[in-house]
Amino acid sequence: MEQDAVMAEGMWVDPLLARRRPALAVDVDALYRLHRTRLTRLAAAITLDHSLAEEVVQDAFAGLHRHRADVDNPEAYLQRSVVNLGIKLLRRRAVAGRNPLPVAPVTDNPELDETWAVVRRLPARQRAVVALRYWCDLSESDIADTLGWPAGTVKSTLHRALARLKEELQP
Amino acid sequence: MTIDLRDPIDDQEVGRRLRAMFTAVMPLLDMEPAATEADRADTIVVPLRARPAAARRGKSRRLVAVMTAAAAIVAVVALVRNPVTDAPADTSTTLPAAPPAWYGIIRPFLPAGFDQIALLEATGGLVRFSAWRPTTAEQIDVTVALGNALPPPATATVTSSDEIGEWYEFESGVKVVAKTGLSVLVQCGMPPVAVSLAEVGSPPCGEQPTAAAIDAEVLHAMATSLASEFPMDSVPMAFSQPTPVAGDLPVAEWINAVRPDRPFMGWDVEGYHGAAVVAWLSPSSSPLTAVLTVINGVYPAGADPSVPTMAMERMADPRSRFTHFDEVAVAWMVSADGVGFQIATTDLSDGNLLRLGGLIENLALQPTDFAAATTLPGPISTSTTDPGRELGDADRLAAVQAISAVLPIGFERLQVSPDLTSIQAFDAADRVITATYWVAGEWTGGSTMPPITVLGGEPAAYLPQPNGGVLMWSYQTGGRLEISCATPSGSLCEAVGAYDSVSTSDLANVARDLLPMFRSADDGDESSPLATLRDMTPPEGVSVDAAAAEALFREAVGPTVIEFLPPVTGVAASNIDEPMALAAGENTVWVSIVSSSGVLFRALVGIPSTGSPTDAMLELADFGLLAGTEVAVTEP
Repeated sequence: MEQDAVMAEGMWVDPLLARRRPALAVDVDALYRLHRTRLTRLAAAITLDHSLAEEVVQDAFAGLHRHRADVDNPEAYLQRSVVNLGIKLLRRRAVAGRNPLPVAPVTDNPELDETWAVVRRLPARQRAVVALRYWCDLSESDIADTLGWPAGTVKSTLHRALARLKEELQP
Repeated sequence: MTIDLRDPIDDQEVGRRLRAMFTAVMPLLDMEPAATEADRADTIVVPLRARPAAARRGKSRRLVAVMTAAAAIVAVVALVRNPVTDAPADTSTTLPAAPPAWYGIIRPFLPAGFDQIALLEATGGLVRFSAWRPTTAEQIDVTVALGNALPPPATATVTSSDEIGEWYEFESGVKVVAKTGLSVLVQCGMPPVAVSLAEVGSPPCGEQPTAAAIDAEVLHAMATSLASEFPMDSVPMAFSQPTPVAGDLPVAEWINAVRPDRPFMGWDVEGYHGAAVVAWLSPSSSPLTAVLTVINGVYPAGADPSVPTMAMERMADPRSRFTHFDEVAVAWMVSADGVGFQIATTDLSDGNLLRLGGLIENLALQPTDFAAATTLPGPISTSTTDPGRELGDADRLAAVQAISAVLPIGFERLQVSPDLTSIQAFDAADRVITATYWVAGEWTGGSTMPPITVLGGEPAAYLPQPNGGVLMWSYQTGGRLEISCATPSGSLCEAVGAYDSVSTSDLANVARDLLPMFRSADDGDESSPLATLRDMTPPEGVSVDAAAAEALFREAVGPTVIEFLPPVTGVAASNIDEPMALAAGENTVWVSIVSSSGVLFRALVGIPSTGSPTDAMLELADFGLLAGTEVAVTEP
């Protein structure tokens, strides 16, 4: 039995998931080497905190390691975990401003610095959706699938973020 | 003040800028911060600050987080009075015997009356602080930095130039890049808050009808003075470390203290600028009409004789706490411990201002006694003042909202037992929180957790359970509440990586808030939310042919139905007959609905990887559920 085999390894699995999906071999180490940098950047864009970003990515990979038998798309799982863990961490600890990025410019382009400054001031959920849309180039539908949010929630979140960006960015 | 007549940028331009920005900025975000002098001083370095390596230990960090969450519940009183911080003594939030060193440097640069100041950030090359005029709730935000390093408006054109430097004027303030090598930004109010409070109007500065209005000229003069004379060289010595951030404050406890006053359906917490904690308050999820901002480390604290403040005792008319700035009213108070509370609202009705005025008094005057914050009436009353009156939708909604407000987001379908000893709360998928209450004798189970104080003032203890739940026991009444969260298959609701994970600490918070509700119902209070819920649901005589409902649903949707959960009768919800969908994975989605007969249907539906688009699939699933609702439920 598939579920028995998983349990024999001492891992807890959701029986429903075990029933639905075949177990896949996931090379977590290889995925870590391949995606760590990109995911850390994504997490940092959400948490605005390097150490929190590292924690989020570590937790995401830890989760993948525990549930690797149930995950049929590890890249999507990791991306979803990073975004959701990042937002959740901020909500729980209310640390969105604990270690903020410096006000000083991070690039030599004032326009880009201004854009980054406005993005930093967005709520974490809006910042995450903006990053997925304009950095990861995901469609709204893909973002909804990635985050496990209703499509309408993604659309309204992105709409609010863009409205605020348009309001605050200088023409 | 200038008027911006330029056209706003469009979506395409925003998208272009965002893509260019992310391309340039993201590679910088995973850089390990260099070990600098500032780093050793535990301050921010470019691009991001690193915390001690020990703070990144995974397992111990989680343990610490759990213990911290538990301790936070217990220690809220102590935290509010004596916030735990590693900051130097001169930045403590306890009332200092003498002003902190930075106060004497900053105060001379501020206009008359702006006596209360919070140092928000000081990193050597940058100093940021806010100041308030306590009698009018006016606020000024100031940032001084070395070089030209301050947004906004990084790309705006220079509006003027003089012997001081180049000036930029914008709606909420002024910026100068001075020839002294400093740049200074002076703004009214707290822009992120003002901007985010939908169509809030003017920030709390500039056009208020007060005799000592802070207008553009005053801001210009301030910026001139700061640019010319601010002793930046003395900053590292004067401000060895930023003020303790409000992120360390027990915001959740404050929100919980708010709830009895005003059962806000929607609230959220965001942090801004490293020191302010912002909680959105609203009687509905949209529109948001009020925002509570909490700022740590304000000097002087409330009731300090060195500064004239508004009354530090309850006012006969709490509406007097508010100063009106066009379309927004703002109240400002500082507790005796130096915690600043600001409430801004766009709902200017007397009732709202009365409630929020009372709320800010509760927060600032009695931060150590949240039980006292339960005396004011809220806009959503669950009381049936006329026992003979027939309950209606408003009563049902009020009861659902009152209970849902203490549950994790998403658990909005409720079922209460006829004897009011248990409730179940269902989410949009297959998870259910079960809470059961009973009264027993003395506690014999022991607990490794310290006691907590339940809303209403009663002391209680709690014990985490092997199933991830919590057993809570009231010392005062002997009432016990057992709560857990699981799926029908037995899976727990806490999962790594899940945005909507429900942890043991979440359940402890829920138990703490539910305990008084159960106690009230157990005492026979027929106006309690649980009693109201019972009176409204379940409808009598409803029966469900589960097999027929499942067959109908599978027939309507097709072979993509993965699972059809047994229907649940007697369920109350705020959204009746409205199908909901919740993605369960890349290729699956939960669909559910509560019928007007109080029956909850839930099904897990697969989305073919090469088949229909998600939206079409959801519509089909929703249609199937509606059909199942209509046919499978048999009214008497």
